[in-house]
Amino acid sequence: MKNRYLALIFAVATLVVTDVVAQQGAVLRVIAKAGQTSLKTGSGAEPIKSGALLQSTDVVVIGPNSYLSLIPHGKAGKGIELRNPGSYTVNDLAKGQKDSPGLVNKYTDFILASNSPEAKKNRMSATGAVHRGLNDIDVFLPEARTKGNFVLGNSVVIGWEAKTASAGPYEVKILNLSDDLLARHETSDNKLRVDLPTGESFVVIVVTKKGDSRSSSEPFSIQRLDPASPRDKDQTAKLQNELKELDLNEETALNKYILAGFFEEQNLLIDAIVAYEDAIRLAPEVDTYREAYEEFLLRKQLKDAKK
Amino acid sequence: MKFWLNCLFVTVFTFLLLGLLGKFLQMNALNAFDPISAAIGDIEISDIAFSQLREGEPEPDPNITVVNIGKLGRGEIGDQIKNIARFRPKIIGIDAIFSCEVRDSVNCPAAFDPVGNKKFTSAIEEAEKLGIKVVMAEKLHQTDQLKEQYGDVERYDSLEHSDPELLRNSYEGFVNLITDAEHQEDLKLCREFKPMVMVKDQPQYAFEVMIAKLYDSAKAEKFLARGNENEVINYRGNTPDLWGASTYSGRYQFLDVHEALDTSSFTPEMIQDKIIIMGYHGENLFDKSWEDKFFTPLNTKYTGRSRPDMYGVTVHANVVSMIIDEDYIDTMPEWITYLMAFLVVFFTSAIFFLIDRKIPVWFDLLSLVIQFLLFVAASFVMIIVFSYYSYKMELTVILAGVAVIGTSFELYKGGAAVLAEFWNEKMAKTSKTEPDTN
Repeated sequence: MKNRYLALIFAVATLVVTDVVAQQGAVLRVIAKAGQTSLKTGSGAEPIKSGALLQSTDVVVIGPNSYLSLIPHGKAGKGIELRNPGSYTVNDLAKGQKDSPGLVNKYTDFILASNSPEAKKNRMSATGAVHRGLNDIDVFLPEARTKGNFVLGNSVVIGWEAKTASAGPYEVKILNLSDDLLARHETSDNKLRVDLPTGESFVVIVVTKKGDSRSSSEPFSIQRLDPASPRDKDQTAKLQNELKELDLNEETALNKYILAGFFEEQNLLIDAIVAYEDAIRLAPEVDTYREAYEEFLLRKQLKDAKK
Repeated sequence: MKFWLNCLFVTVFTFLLLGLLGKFLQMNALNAFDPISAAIGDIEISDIAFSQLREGEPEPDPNITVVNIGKLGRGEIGDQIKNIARFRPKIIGIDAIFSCEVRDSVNCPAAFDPVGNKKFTSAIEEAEKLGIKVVMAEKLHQTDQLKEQYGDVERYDSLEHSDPELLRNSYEGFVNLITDAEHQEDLKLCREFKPMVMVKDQPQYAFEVMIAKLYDSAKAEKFLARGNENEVINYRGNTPDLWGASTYSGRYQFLDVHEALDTSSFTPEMIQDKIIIMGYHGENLFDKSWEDKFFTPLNTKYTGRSRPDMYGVTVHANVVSMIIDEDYIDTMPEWITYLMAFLVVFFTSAIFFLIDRKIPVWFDLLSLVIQFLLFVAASFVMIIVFSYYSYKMELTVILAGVAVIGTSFELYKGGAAVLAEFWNEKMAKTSKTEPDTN
């Protein structure tokens, strides 16, 4: 009993000390983020939380069309905004902060800059058209901001629709957050079932028309639920218990259909897609499953309704 | 003596000329040919100081977190409040008015959504039970009766509140800001705000002032004790601005719509003991629309056509920062502006007279150089004083006087020469016609 008590005190003390040391070692703090932002860890990457403290050895990864705002932790200083995709070492970011020029220098630069000729400036950055050439492949996967992109299972069915009339073949790339290519698949179909790479908790899916890189989808991120991580432990355990109670292990179309409904309720839309696809595969002659799947895609706005 | 008298006459003449020019321009005679005035009519020199020329860079405010409510309904905003309240902020300010002009289930379905309303009110009640103070928005209005009685004046006699069942024990503050907009949909330029307004003999406080009162009453009272009807907003910076419309973006902690709905996406430090200001900040951070966006002095483009740079909720955050940090801006009284303008023009005319007398061949060049140097010096002084002492000098009259002094001096000289010749001729004629009485 005494040993157990001592062990508990030791564990708590260790946690407190670790937290204090981590705070003292923290250099920057996240105050805002948007899009795909993550922290490289030993095994992969994990999404960054707003308010998170970053150590000098940390590496942050910014995805395309994403943003991260940082401020110095524990001392005064101006903020750092990251908008360009890439990997950034926190130590470099903290060191790279230069002192702002004095007011006299700013005023002088302002006067001189105001007088500099404008003739060489590029004035042709804007067009009168909207972009239709890019992102002309609609992928039926949930966007990260809806939080429906978590997945419990090991595979994903990627379906898509090309807005332009031309057909495949298509290339499906699976990347990690550092843009490293993990897998590449080719298909003439508009659908592909892939197994998620092991060891990666966060992957990005992009579908392009083979041989025409202009014709592509937006990148879609998928996060795996990890039963070992503190964030997902409770949720995963609850899901496993509920699945056990449902007892849908038998491989029937009806079971898969019910499973799809269960996953939809839990906002695990990617698992729901897999379940619907399995139901259709097991009973291709039954229109109900196909219709229900279409309705699901429209209901969850994964697919646009045809006008 | 004659020298100083001449300087005085030139000075008076300069201001008369300015007055005439001003009247002429007010007649809109040249408006069609005056795009410059139209473009720069809205700017002040201090705008340039705010956006381009500050000593150092304003630091992020660690006391305030801005939370985006996007287009969420009452129930979902209630979910956000519930999530936020868990982490014990000090204050929650909600920059939104939950009311409808036409209150029926077709035009105002939210008011008839018992689940959504219940979620919202429960969230507020729970927050208040945890000791968190909640400030809701209200809006100042003028009734038709008041408009008929007083015309277009800054008087208000009514308030628009959120639906009573949502208010609970919340505090309220008006969210009206000083702009030239006729309607909410107009483009809005905001440099100032009113800390307090009397409505039917009762003091009503601005939303930001109410938040400050609840956060730090001493600082709020000190601010109110300044007694100014209008206060210039000392802008610190913007929330994340992905589209580069504003300088000093990323100066406030920010939670987007989906983040506030998911407690796993932020750390408690974003919320604990903070002032939380919830309001519309686009559908999300990537939203490019201009709805509820203001032009502020932090706009990267301080003249000509531009796009608005700051959401209303962030304007409120800037005002709260200003009050909490006691970092106000004082404004030069008008009489000092005119006195300074008079003295500058007076002594400039003295210099011009000296040059004209001693080295007249250099007058044209030197007068232009002096005017240019005065212009630069005056604007630099204004920026230095603004930056170091948060004191706003209104130098428009001075700069206008400096711009016109050269022309008015030449006109005066020419006119005085003509008058002198006329007078001499008249005196000569008079002496010829008078008989010699000796």
